[in-house]
Amino acid sequence: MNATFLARLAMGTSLGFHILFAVVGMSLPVLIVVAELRFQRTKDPVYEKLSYQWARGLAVLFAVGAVSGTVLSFELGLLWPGFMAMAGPAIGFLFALEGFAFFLEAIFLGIFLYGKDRVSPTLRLACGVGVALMGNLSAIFVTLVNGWMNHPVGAVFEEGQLIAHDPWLILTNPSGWQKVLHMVLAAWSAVAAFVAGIHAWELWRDRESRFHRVALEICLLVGIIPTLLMPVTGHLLAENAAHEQPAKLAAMEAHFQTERRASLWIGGIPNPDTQTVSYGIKLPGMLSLLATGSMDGEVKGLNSFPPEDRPPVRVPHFAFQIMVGCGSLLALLSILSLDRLRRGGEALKARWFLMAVVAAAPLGLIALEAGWIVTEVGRQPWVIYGVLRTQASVTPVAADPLGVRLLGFLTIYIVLGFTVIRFLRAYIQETRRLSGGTEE
Amino acid sequence: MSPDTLAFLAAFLIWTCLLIYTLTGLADYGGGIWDLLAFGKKADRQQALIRRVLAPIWEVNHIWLIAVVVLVFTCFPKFFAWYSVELHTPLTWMLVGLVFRGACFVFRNYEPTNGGWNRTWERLFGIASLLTPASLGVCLAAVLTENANWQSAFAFSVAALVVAHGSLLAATFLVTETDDPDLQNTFRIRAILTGCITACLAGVTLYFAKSEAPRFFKGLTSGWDAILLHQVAAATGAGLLASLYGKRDSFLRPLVGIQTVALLAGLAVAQYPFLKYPQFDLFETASPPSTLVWTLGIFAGGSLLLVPALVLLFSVFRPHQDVLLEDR
Repeated sequence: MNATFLARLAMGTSLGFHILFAVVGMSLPVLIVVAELRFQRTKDPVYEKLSYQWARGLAVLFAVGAVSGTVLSFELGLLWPGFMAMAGPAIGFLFALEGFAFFLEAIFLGIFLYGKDRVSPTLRLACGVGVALMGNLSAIFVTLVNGWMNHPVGAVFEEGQLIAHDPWLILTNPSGWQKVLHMVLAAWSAVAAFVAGIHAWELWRDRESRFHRVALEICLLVGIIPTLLMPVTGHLLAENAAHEQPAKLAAMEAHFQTERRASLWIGGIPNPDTQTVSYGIKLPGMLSLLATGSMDGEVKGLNSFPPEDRPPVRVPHFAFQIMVGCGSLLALLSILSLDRLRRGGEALKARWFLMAVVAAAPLGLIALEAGWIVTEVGRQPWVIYGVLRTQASVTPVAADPLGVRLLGFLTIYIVLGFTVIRFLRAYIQETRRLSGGTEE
Repeated sequence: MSPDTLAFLAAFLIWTCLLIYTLTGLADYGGGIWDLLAFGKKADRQQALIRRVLAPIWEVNHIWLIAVVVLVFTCFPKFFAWYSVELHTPLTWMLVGLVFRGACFVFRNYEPTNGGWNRTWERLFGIASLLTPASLGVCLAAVLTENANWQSAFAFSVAALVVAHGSLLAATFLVTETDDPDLQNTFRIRAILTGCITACLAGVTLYFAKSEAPRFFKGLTSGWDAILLHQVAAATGAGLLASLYGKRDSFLRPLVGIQTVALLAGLAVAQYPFLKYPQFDLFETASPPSTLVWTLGIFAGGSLLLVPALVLLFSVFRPHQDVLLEDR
């Protein structure tokens, strides 16, 4: 295991851990605001109770997210000093924006959580909206950093140095904003699905619980449209990849030969040595159609790139298939949910439906992680696409100490993860005692 | 605005964030140390006071440190890359301390029922409270030394000085935050003791600086500005001890605040114009003007939004009120 791989593993696990909490910060405040608005409109105490319980969950998840975010801000320098030296002037301001968004989010959250008896309901609701807004904004700025890494617009490089850059072009990078849209929708969809799963489970246990029924309803309402829009935004991203990062597209589609009427693989195990794909379902011409708009369009194959410029194939391809698979199942569930909601009354409590929601609960988060694996592993060997290689940007610290570091932080993440699960389970237990199976 | 002015403003902004961090985050760590050192009959009450006053509502005092990190990699990226490599080990320890502290905050404040975990987390909390300031200290010392040695006697004495100053800040704040005369006296004694220790450590650090960081030593001891700051630091230190002894509590916060400013200003004045001698002159290392303009602009604009938000937050949670962190 060389230092570069260990550094990538360290960064990847930190990001993979942090993103779970970050998306909660983007989506759960939206759910809470909906509950609060319903409470203000109907004065029904069940919504107040729901808002309170969700906010308790948000508080602990936000705190863990802040800890993992701190790790990332340090790891940028500890693991990738070469990248930061070159990219710092270009994208540093995006991190500054993110920092302010986060700080404001924390302040609004503090007032929302603990200011119940001290501020007016309107101001408190405004703070709730503020949390949602700032949470999504900070994610947007970070995603724009990644957008630039994958498509370094507004920058002039010469002899391995960044010699000129335009912050405005970097801020308005179209590739970055396409990614932002897909990410925001993904966050709302994935978290709504997960929270829905928790409430569906509780509703299964206690079918008379109004608390869990309205909770489920709100989750579905918030999650359905983003889930159904994601195939569209995903398609736009793939089209973008065809233009800007053809090697990445080739890797995630396991497409080896440059050709027209390129086939789309559903599933399949790529064999980079023989440049074949086994066991998949081949749809002739579909890749060309999706990537270029015409079945006769040419799609670049992996072997049209020099070997040192090729990303790995297996990991992006598997991750891509997992992401699309999970996304498709969630889209199906969304359509079923629409039907259930339309029927109203007891339709939501149908056993088969609740089972489906529970089973689907982790799918959004799995798709989220898989999607990021596609884009980041598919980006290799570049850290600034076409300009700076990952290997050239890593810290000169030797592999062994990096390995020790990695183990240490993995342990921390596991401990934090278990603790979070323990806390959330305890909160859920408390809601059972509170609801007690009656109209609450 | 000339590139030089922009570079200076960026460096000044970094210094300001470091100052705010010292007065907030470092004080938090100081509180952690007193928590660790709480003994005797009044230990529980000491810890309760510390928790009430210094356990922040949402544990983001370290955001000022993150602001420093972001500003450095945006405005002085080559300096950032250099210290990220050179000081990889102490920076990792600093991070471990930050993570432990953040995690302990989560466990302490969000534990749904009083689990038996608290003992372990108390210990970890205490360790974190020593680890981060000490790591910060050795990193600071390395930046002040030409050979960037973070394991010299000078580095260790700077580390001890940082830990001591954080403890002094915390003890001083705690005296002013409680109405209980018993607790006041406890922390008063601790503050006086720590004040004396800090003064001694300052002398020790200066002594080691002479041989191990000669340029920095020279910067601290020559020039009217450095000498004036020295005198201010010494005077406020003496004033602080006198006020503590004489129970003139209204002077405590301003005195320790001014002393902190004087110490950090002295540091900057002694180093100027280098971030790190000799490779990183702040004017030559700075990022291009477009980066600096955007970054400074964002900080200016962000502060405009931030200040009213903070005012709102603190007006909602006035001091001396018990804030229920979790309904139990």
